[in-house]
Amino acid sequence: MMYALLYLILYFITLNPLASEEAEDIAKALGWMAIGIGVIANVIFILYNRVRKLSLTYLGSSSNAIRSLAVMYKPMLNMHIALNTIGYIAGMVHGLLFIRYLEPITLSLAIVMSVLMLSGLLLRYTSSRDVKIFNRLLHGQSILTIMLVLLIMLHVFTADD
Amino acid sequence: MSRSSDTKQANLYLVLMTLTAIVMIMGLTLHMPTVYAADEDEDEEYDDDTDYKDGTFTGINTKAREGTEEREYKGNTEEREYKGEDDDNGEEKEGEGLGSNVASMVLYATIAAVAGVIGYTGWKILKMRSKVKV
Repeated sequence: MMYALLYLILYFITLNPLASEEAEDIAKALGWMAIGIGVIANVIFILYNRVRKLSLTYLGSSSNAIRSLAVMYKPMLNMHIALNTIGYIAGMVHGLLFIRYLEPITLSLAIVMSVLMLSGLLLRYTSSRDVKIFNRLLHGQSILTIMLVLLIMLHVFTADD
Repeated sequence: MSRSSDTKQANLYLVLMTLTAIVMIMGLTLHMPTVYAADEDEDEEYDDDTDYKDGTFTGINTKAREGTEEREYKGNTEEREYKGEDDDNGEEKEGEGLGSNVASMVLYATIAAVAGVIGYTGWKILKMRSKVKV
């Protein structure tokens, strides 16, 4: 059900750029698409993790709810990675299309996005213990998340200028 | 996990980080002429009397020279290229939002924060490893 809803949302988001007539509108829509996908991918995953941790604290590990939540972890993680990858690529294509308007805030946003994306991918696809710990710590740094949200807001407010 | 596998992982990590650094440097290099071009619009008033003094062609815009001498990017060839391109659309500069100085500060703060977080995390790992060895 949730996947069907996600596909529906993504379908409409991806249709939007195709429906636009001008190239600039398509590029702008790609930016909004990146933001939309990022919100969906991260809010759902963060909420899921919070619920899992809270229920583990209050219900204990023997509960059926905990087991079903634990089973969902891998699909949720895969969805988080897949959506964020799509969002990252959409954001980067949007940036490349508007490269002539590149300004410091956009560049800052690209740097933070790249660091989070790289650390996430390395966290998932490497098996070395130290690299994993490093990336787990880096990927979970709240300062990077706060910076990402602030930079997205700044970018949205100042992009038209 | 064997030693060679660890080395491979570390090499992969280094390559990816190097690529990120290259992208960042390329971005910064692209960004620099944009800032100069934005500043250049302020000097448009100098362009009216460019190359002419007392009705004769001199080939030197003295006022513009004085204006640029105060800047750090004196002699930058990119500046000249961008000046030519942006002469007709000086209006772009008007609504620059936060202003290039504040925006540049945001960029430097971001780079510092990202470098700080990476350094802090690396230091934590090294500390952890040294504790394990002892």
